[in-house]
Amino acid sequence: MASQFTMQSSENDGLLDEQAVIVEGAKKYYYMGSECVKALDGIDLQIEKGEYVSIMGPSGSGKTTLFNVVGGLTQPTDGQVFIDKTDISKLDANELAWLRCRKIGYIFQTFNLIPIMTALQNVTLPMIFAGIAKAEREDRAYELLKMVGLGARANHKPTELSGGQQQRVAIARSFANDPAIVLADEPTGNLDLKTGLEIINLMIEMNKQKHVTIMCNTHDLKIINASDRIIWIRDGQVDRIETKDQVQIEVGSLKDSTGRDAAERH
Amino acid sequence: MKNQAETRLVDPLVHGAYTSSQFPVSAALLFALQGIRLRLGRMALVFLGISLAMAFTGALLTTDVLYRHIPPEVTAGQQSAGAFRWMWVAVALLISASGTLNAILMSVTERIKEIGTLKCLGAKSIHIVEIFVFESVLLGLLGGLVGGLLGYLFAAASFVMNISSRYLTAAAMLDGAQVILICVGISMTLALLASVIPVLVAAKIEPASAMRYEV
Repeated sequence: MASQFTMQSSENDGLLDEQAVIVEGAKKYYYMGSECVKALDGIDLQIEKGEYVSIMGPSGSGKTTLFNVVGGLTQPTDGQVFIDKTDISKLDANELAWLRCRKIGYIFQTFNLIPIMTALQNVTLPMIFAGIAKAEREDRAYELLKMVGLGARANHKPTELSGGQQQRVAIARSFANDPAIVLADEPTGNLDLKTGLEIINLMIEMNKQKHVTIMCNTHDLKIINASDRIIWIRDGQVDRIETKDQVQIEVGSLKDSTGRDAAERH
Repeated sequence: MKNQAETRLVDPLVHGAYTSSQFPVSAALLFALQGIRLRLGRMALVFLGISLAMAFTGALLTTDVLYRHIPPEVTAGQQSAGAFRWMWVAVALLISASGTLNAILMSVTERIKEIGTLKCLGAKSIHIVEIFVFESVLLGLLGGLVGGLLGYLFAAASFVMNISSRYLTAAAMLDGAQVILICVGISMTLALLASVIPVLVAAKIEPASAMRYEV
């Protein structure tokens, strides 16, 4: 029994070393009166380190709930979520704060920068919570801003920046503490086509350069093309998982016979 | 599968690490100041309310102190402020405290999304609590200082006009000036008490629901 136990755990170590995220049977139920809304109804998925994964699905399919559960923003009703070897369903509020600070970066549809702080201060914020010294965090924040192409705008406040620039600051901020995974919830949802494409390219570039895992909720077909895998969610469950190659064929066929493909999809 | 999961241990770094997370007081103060600055109009009204209440309190306290410096044969047992007047003080303080409570509560609800963002970036509830306690206590400090000073000056002026400047000795003035400190103390304590409810609201905010919140 004991040997089995250790064998299992060593097996897991191997698995965990390669996986940035493991979700096992995650459920999230909301009770509204006598009604039970199953936002997540038993999701299983694994995301490898360095992977760029897109989560697709219709509105109300549970994408944002999955984002919240994986991001440690809310506890699942049942099931387990591992971020970089840590089971987040076992953490208390303060431990979750620690995890959010150091292991996870967030990018939101509405940017969510702190309005009264400059771009540089916004990027330093997660590093303040991580207890990094002032000089070091400012150096690092400036480097990150340069990486996202906003070195010259470091001292501008969010209101003095365009939507695309604000999202760039948010991307720089999400990478501040070298997280295990960056979660993005509809990052291009509030941006026009061209700016959205720039943001996507920037996220891919950061993914390649820093080897940080990215999980991205999206409706945006442009992102699909760029991701390593696409996980389709429907009614709180994984509908299907597609790899990059499969999708590129599909996108191609989409151009040829749009009607039929769209009909198959819905 | 379930059993396998049980054997995975939680990262030891995470457990017990929460003592190392830092949020300097200066940063909390910065947030508090910005909170006040963004709502300057409303905060000025609250500040005015606290100042007036504290000026009233301060004036009565100062008058009391100054009367003690008049030789007893002059006052002939006359009291400066009757017990009845202290009731008005209590009412004034109650109103100023409820005004502070309301202002900080609004500051919290208006910034739910910001609080959610801070929590996403690694802020703990205690850090959020710090920000709003500072905001409230800052208002209390300023209101107590200005109100206490106004009350003191008013009481001194009225003393000179109604009694005589003869009894307004340096010692009496110095004794009266202590009232300003007392006012600051009362005002800050009240502000601290008034911030309890808003701060509890802020601490309980779950980041996931804060992100969905539309102002």
